Amino acid sequence: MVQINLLPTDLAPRPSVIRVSGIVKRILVVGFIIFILAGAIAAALYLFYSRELSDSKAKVSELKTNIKALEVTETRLILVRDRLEKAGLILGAESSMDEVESAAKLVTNFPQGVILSDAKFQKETSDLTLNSPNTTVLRELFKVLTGSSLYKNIDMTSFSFSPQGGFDIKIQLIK
Amino acid sequence: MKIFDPGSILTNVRVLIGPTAFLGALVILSVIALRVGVSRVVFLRTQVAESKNEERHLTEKLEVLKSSEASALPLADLSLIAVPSDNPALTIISQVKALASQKGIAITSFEAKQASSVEEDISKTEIELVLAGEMRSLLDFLQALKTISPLVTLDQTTLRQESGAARVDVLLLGNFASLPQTLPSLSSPFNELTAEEKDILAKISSYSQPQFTEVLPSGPYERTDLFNF
Repeated sequence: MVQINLLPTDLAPRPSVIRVSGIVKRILVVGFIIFILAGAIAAALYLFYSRELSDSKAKVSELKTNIKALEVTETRLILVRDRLEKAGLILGAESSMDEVESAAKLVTNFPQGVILSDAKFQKETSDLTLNSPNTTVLRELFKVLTGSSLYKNIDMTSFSFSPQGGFDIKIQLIK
Repeated sequence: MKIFDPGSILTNVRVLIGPTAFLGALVILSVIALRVGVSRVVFLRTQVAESKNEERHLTEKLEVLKSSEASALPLADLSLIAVPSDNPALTIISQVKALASQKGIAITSFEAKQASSVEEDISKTEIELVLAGEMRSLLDFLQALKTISPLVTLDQTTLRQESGAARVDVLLLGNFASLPQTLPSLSSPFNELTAEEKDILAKISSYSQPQFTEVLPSGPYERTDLFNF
């Protein structure tokens, strides 16, 4: 059957307008599909993360309960850590302990006959008063003092001789 | 010549207005959905990440606590003896006496003073000692002081020797510090001891520990004679 358009041609829309309208309709359809797909993805992600969050929160709650049960252990470990921090400060603090240790090593090497009559140990220096009966021992003593690597400086603060007592030497040891 | 025809324009507009209006509505809807939906998903994702992070910290903390459960008490005792919470003068004197007897020297006198100063939350108490013995033993004793627990610091030491008899005046500083007052929050991370802390622990565990004896309560016993014990 033959179709006849009875409308006057002036009333029909222009072909360019019909083409633009077609393009807009196609964009609309594609856009709508994208919109639906994006919506579905967003809803899926929302559900997925909601579930993950509730699972994670349940685990966190369980872990907190377990940790709470070990509170005594935690308290002890915090105490240990606190004490160790303070022990570190005490062990690292300046003390005349090192001076005593170094002087003891030095005194061990003194030749036979040398008498340590007086010693004062402070945090950075040690003052020793020594007695040597004769020059042979004195020479050996100086050899020990000059050969020692325990001190940065060894200052002789006093040196005296008496025929009865021999040589009295006062030295200051500086690290 | 083109003739202006309002009817023709109206027809063209009618053809375009429907799809264009729908497209506009879709764009507006998309913008709203994008702003609301994406922000919600992003917020939820951030929350999940935070919760997972907390979960990881708590798992690590629980593992550390579980693995240290058995050793926590001995370690706490050991560290609390090294740095006690109360004035350790008596314990130090007891340790010094034991050490002096071990080295064969005599304690001529001792005096414990009140806590004198506080440095970095550590209180110090002064103990003055006068010791007599052989020079070598005295030096050994002084060196051994750094291996006793509670930890002590040697402040000033004077040594004198006359006709073979030596005497030493020592000013010892005993250290103590108050206990931590608060626990950190439950979810705060708790790491294992660092290498430095383990070193200090190894050191103080090698130091000589004071001997404590527990005096058990006695009695009650039956008294046959009420007027005599």
